[in-house]
Amino acid sequence: MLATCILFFVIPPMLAFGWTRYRYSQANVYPGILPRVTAWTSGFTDRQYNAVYRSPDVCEAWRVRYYDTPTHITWQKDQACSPTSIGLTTGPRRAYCEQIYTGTDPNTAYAYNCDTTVP
Amino acid sequence: MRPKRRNVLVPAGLLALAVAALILGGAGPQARAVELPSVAHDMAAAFALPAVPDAQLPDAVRQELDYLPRPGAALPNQTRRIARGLGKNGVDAYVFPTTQGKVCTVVTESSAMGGCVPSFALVKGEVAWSVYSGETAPQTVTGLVSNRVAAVSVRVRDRLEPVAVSRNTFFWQAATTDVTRGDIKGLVVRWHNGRTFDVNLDFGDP
Repeated sequence: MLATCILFFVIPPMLAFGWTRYRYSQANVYPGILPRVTAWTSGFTDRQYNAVYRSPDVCEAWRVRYYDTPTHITWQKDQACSPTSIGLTTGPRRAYCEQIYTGTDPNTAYAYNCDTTVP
Repeated sequence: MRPKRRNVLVPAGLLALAVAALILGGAGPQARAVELPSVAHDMAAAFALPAVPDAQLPDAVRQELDYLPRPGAALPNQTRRIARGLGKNGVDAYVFPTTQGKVCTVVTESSAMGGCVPSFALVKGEVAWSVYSGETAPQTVTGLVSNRVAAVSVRVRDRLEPVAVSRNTFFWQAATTDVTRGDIKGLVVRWHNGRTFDVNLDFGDP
């Protein structure tokens, strides 16, 4: 009874606040110091999306990928600005994100997130 | 007889005024024009299209309305379909403005391609490009362009492939899977005033 009550009151707010999202990378980028940043999820599973976003949103190139084996890419997308994302997978995938510093960003430093979730 | 009639008419008139005020007050927010971000004004042809109500959007687009604009949210019922039936999969392209002043785009591949541009001033040639490929799509170069852009060409290996610009977007797709990501070298962008820009898309692989 107690467990049911806890689940009843805890799970809906969790879903509402997006706590099912899995942030697999979060860091600060300092132009000129880290010219290329990459991150992977630890495992293969069905995924709703794989997105990279950052604050503030200024434009350097970003890349997101899905892998179905450690070396085979199923989808890849490069884009001028964040956020960028790829959507639903058909089958278990590993998610990957990469920042490609092109030197056009006028900002000195910024935070970025690589984010994925399961259906 | 006359005073009695006035007694009836005055409250009836006040009631009618109150009802009218209620109706007009309720209609006000819907009738008021939605304030679009400045980047949307830089895409005049795209946002001149009628909006597609959120309830009529494909699932993949509705999902991107939720995920993509973080931090912030999509402005409700302001999505435009700016292209349809593109490439080998006949995909559509949608754009929507956000509360944080961005414009986001979704291309309805089997794995939806989403992205946003905060300002065209931040991208070379005022072209917010993306390059994608995958299980069901060969190499594809697409993006959003500002009102200044007249023409876009994709540099593939050593040749230039002109692409039509329409409704502030462009879309180029390789005819076969023989074209790899490394073959896509860049864009040549020409503005209406004749200025041209070379945009590098050759980033190599880590």
